[in-house]
Amino acid sequence: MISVADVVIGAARYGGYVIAGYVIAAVGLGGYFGSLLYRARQARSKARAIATHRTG
Amino acid sequence: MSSAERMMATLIARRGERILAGLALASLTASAILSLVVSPPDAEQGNLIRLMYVHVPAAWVAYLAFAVVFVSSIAYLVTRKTRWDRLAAASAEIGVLFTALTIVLGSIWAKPVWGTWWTWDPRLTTTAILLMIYVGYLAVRRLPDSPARRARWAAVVGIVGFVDVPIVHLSVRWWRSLHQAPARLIGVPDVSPMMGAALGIGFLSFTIAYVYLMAVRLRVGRLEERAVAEALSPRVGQPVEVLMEEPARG
Repeated sequence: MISVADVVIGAARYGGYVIAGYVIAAVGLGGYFGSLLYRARQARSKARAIATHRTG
Repeated sequence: MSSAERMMATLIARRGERILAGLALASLTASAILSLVVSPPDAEQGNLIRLMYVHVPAAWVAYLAFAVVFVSSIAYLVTRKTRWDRLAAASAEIGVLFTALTIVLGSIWAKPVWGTWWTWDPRLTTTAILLMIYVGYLAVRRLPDSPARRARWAAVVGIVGFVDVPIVHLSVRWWRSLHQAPARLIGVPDVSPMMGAALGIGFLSFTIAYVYLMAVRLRVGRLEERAVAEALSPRVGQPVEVLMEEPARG
């Protein structure tokens, strides 16, 4: 049977790998989502600037 | 489509996107809680098993994304409709993200379990090849060529590249591999019910996240195309709306 001490020691020993994995997954997904929002804003402002320039 | 209909379609799409965003966020949060807090540690690997709940769903979404590229590429070559090309491009980009995540998360899991960050194991090697194929696919999409020819070449790469997906999946059965075989979740499961539930929610939440990212990526693709059409419009003497329409087959 696993004791509380085993769980605490196990978590402390390998917790870093688990936390690193979840942080990387969150940063990867969040970073990509952020890049999409940035691209959308860039494309919108570019299209608006060209349209404004064209129509005077 | 009239401008009123187009505005209505945009409003519905944005509302759908918002609902998807909420669903993705809620399911990812539930998945994290279930994986990190509720599910028990493994008898052999202890808490390291918690990496399975992000590594395996990430691999599943990568497969799914490349399957969408495969189907869309065939549909593009048959119909020559740009919407299929757009769908393939969006899915490939997200597939590359999830493949990279799969490799990085697998590497983090491998270090304490196998004692190494990387080994030239069949599963790992074929996954690295998969990543390179679809990075190549994205590179093909950036070649300075006519959009139609570029889309055609990309579709060919998207179809041929998919051959590696079943090879990646079956590599653990075909060759002697350090990587474990897929866990059985249906019938007599290999894992405890709580672990199976955590993995199932992981699959669901990553799939919803994929669908949401696809919706956003497709909208970004339309906006980028609009910017190009705005720039081209005065040069070719055609309205932006005409340039944004599906090109004729040829």
